[in-house]
Amino acid sequence: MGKRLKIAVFSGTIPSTTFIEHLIKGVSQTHKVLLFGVQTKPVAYESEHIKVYDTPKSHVKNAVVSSYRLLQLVLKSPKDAVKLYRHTSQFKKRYERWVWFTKVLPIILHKPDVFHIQWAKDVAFYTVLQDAFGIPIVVSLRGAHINYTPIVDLSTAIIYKQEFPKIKAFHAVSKAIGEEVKLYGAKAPSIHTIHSPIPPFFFDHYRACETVQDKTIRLVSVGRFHWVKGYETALDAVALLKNKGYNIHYTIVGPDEFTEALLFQCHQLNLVDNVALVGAMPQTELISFLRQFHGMLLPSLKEGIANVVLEAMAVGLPVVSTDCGGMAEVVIPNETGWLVPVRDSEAMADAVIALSETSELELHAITKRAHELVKREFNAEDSIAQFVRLYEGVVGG
Amino acid sequence: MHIALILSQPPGYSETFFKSKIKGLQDAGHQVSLFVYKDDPRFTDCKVLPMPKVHANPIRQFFATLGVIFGLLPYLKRVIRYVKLELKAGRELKQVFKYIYINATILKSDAEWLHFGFATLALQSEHVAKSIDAKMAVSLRGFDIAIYPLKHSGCYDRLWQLVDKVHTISDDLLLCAYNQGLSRNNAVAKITPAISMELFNTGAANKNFKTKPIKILTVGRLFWKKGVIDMLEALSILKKEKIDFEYQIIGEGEQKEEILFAIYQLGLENEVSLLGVKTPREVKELMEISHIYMQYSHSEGFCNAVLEAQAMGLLCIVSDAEGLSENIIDGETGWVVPKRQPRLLAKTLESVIELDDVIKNQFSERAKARVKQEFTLEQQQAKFVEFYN
Repeated sequence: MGKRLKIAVFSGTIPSTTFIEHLIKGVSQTHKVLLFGVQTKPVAYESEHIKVYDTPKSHVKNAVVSSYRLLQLVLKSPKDAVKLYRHTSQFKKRYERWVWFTKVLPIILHKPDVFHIQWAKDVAFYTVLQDAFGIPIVVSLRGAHINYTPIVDLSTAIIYKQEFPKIKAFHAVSKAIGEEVKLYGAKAPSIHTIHSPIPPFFFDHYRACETVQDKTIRLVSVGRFHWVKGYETALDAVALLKNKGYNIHYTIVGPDEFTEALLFQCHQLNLVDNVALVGAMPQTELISFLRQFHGMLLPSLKEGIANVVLEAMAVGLPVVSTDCGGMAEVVIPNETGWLVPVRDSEAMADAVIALSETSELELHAITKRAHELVKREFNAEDSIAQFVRLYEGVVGG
Repeated sequence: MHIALILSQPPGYSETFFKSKIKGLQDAGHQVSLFVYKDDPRFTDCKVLPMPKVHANPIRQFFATLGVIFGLLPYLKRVIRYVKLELKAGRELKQVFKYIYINATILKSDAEWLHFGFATLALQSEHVAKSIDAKMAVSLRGFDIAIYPLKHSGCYDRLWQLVDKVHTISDDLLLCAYNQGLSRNNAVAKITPAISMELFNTGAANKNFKTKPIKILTVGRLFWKKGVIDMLEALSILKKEKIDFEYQIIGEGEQKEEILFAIYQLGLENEVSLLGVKTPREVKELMEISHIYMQYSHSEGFCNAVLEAQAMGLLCIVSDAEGLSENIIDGETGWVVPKRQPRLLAKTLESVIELDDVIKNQFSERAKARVKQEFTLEQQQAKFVEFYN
């Protein structure tokens, strides 16, 4: 193995989400990982190849740390220090100049070989690393930053169109998101689809699901309440099924109380006794909790690719999903699940009926295929290896 | 007679409902005063008394409390009566003191009627009227009765026991109140909103339905209960049918992000525009150049904008939410479509657009005539004068 590269995995905060932490640990097996940003909780990484260079939140502490860093940089490369000063002087307010100076300073000082931005909106502030300091940038396309922010906020779209054509490499969580980023000028060869891995224990818990008896259907959705999750469609579908004579129970697992809109909808559609809310639970509990259901609904208006669906497929729960973002890449009609258009409660209700009328043999064939697909395409080893290849490619030219 | 109205803030320039009510009562020789949680010096139609503020700063709160205590000394008897009533109703002593503070201004009033402008405003003040020997009235306006109680079950139990007269703006809202425990023996009066015919007046001319493309309009906050997404989904069906239209929404609100995304996802960027907030005069001008007015709400007390649109001769298509089906007579002054069914809404839109201009004008004229006959400020004023007798 050659020299370890210095990879900055940047999400703004240390520690980051479960998912990004997983990436950090994985990459540190092969290369050095540098973490910049604000530390919100104490962290202790086992690997000696993970280094934390935080910018303290306290102004006094930050002044001390940053002065020392500046001294180091002036000794190491006075040119870079001048460049950094010039860059930050473009900010109008003195406070902003100070904040950005201290945020970018450690990155310039430790000069990673790759700067991997986890949240796309950060490109507005960090492409200077590539433009002025020659640090190649990789951008991950996840969540709201790509799913709807640039659509509903014109200023974000303008920044993307300005910066994306220059970005060395993009990480898309699904092929669909990779296609979408082209709208903002990303070049096709720079786009790499790398699936998010599903923890292995989900695959260990695969079990053939229950089939619907006597028109009693138990459905589940997992996730927070946000408009992009499209729960209105799911509730409308539940109402249609109820009116068609099905004995229907719909459970939503999530951290939130009902929004006023959804609570009102439940009352207006007379679904108070058919819909239940259950608080969020750890993944291990969730697996056994999911066993009681006949199917999972994903009514989202937009997704990169929904992890909850992948997890359901991994454990053998049949899935009815809207056709949004990358969902069609895993939920394949007649193969691995049921796919319906977004905002179409009638289609969703029909799909649930189709699911309920599928024979046990056929249903188990579908969930088995779904399980195999996710196991093949969304495993942790492959995902980390692909990231490593991506970084090495970017550095190698 | 002295009538005290309790509102969160003085009515703004465009809130004709309360402004005309106050004027009507004054013209009939009554004294009207307004108790508000947030004052607005621009309002000068009657005496305004601000309620004591709750301060975040403990020192300010201490002095404010001291001031309130001194102010209440001459009304000790009323305060004692209030405390007794509250304790008898099972309220905790600490709560009772908090409510005395909040209600201090009303406890000093010599009003003969206390009228709470929304049911939610009467929460925490249920015993005040009895303590000052006044009668209590409450208005049912929409959100307060159709939505608020879903998260606060039984919140009006005390109010229903103590209220002397209930004002509702639609039959449907009254039914909501009955379902939540209001006794059917309680005195009630339905007084619908009314609009100013001075501003919303087209004169004698018929509306011109010949201009293309069809212009559709909605006025309302960008808020979930207005059903904007359903309207957009219906319009996306119209677009697929190659019907040429423009749709404008007047209003701002927290649902804007979701609505912008829906416009994009449904491919309606060229047809739909969000205009933001407009003045009543600008609303009138936009109504003048539009053909169809759409109000497909999930929940709606009555909706003044639908009255205004009818007065301006627009073809109105509304949902059957609460007061809307009383606002529009289906098949006569407009079209009432069952709520939450975008496909059905699209069908109605299509059939209305295809109607012969003669028929369109008949609807338009019938709506104009009915609004002019049944929803005038003068009628509303007369009914409110009667309300307190």
